[in-house]
Amino acid sequence: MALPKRIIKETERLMAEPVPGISAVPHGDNLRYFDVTIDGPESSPYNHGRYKLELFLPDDYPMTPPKVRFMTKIYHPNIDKLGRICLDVLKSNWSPALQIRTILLSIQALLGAPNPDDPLDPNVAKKWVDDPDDAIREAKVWTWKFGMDYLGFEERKKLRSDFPTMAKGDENYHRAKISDGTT
Amino acid sequence: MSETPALARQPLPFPGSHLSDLSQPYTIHTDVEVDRGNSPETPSRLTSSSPNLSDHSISRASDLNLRHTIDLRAITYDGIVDENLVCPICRCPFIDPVLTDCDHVFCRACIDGSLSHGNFCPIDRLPLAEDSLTRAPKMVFNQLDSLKAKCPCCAKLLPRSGLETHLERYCLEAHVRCPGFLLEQGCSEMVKRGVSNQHCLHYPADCPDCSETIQQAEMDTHRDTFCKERLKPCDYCEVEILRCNESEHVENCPDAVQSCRWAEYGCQHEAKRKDLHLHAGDCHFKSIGPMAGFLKKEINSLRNDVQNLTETNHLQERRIKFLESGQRASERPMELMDLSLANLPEATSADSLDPGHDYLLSLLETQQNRLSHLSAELSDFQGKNTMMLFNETLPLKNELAELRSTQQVTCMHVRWLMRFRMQENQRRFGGGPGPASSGGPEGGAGFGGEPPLSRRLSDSSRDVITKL
Repeated sequence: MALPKRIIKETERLMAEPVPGISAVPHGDNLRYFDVTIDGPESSPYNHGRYKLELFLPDDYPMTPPKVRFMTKIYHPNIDKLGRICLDVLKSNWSPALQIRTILLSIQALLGAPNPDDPLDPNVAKKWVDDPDDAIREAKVWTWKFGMDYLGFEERKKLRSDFPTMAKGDENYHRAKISDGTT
Repeated sequence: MSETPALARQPLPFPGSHLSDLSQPYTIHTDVEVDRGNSPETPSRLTSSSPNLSDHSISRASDLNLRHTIDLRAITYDGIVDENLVCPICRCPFIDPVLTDCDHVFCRACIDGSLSHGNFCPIDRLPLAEDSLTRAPKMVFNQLDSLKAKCPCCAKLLPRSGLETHLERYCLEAHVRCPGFLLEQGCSEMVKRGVSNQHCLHYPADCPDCSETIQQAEMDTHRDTFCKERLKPCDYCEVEILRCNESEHVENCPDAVQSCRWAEYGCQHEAKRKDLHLHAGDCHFKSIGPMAGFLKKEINSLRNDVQNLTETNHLQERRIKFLESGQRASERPMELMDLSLANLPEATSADSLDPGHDYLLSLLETQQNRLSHLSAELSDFQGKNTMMLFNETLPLKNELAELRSTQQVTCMHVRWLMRFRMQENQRRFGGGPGPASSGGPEGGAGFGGEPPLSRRLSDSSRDVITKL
């Protein structure tokens, strides 16, 4: 099936004027399939993390929303173990006037503002409501474990103090809490 | 059938080795209509549905023109089209635009597709019924019609509305029916308009050389480049060679005329390849030639050197500017200065062109920025702290002053009462005035008789407050 002009235009624009903190590159053998990375927003527990996603434009795009999935593990109430995302504009609130870049921006915003009232992973959401401090700590631990492979050893070392370790009694735990203003 | 000149201009920044995927939107859909007599432009013609130029049927006998259906979404527009004329759904200039109740414009096909998925406006999500769509204002149509677009065949820039007529009637690169269509046998092939004044060449013919049967129209190409039997004497050496191998042969033919090897530097001698060595001995350029070649090489390498040096120079200038600006900012902490100075010796070293240095420089700059940001924040914070402290101490001070004044007032009262008591004692006992009571009458005159004194006291206490 021929590639609609709109997809070509969107791809060109994504390449020519990329959104800061977001990259989307089409696959060589299938221009409807994109490799996406999204940087965790500052002032979120996902800061310094870089998340890989896959994005697929179905045949009737833009009438139907693109399919997006996180490939990097992430601790977030609206993203489940398989990387599926609970976001209204990806489902019922999709509009053909939305584009790849706007969708990716929405996902980045979702990282900055988790919505535990409309959860996809009930356990994470429960934690997020009951003990937000601990949930944010957990999210940071996951960011450190899964979302920072793109950094070199030295850079990771520099950032180590920003991230708590797994044990709650650890001194970094408190430091992490202070640094994101949760105390 | 259609070249894709538009494609060549399309920037392909992504690893797009799959031109075939992209070229498809640029295809022109040429279709033949039964009757060309009544062919007013209708919107349905603009939609791209038929993929091929297959189905042919008779139009007016004298007319060889074909009807071209253009996919207006696939053509290339001149420059950047105004965003207000671009459909938010297909991101192309509107095609048959319609207006919604909420004042948004879409292509009819796009909004129809959207409405089949949900009855709301794609922009503001207001409810939208299909029958509420109205044709967009004439002005929009006029603006769209005057958009310049490239003819997909001859790449000429034309108003979008005139493109179809241009292809059907005038474009020399567009396809028309072969003139043989009008003959009895009715040739069904197509030719470019530019060559349509010839006769129909679409009949099978035998190649006179190889007895292969091919279409007459392709005979020339076949005989010149493909035929494996066609012999031809070489233009130079008279030897019979295969026509399709002629160019290879000429490159090696000993009788072919070749110019002197120093032609590049001015020798105009030309001779047959086999005689060229005779000239080589007499050539005036024989001694200059190698020299010139050497010099050329030298000049090229020097040019490269100069370019490299210019780049280095640029880099060092930047570095100097950076250092100068660093010195100007005198409140910059020492470590940063040291760091940038440590970077300086590297600048003069040979491999200073390394792009890594640029990176380091930018790193330093960002660090400097961050630092100045931090210091600004620090002073901000300091200011805030002072304010807070001030705010907190002010009420305390006020309170203190108040207490002090009250205390003074009570002091006065006590003193007054004491004097009063002492006077009373004096009166009661009628004793001679002692040293302690010598002040008594004065005090009595001072305190007992004059109430305004207390006010003076409060005045003084007020003074205390303002001093605080």
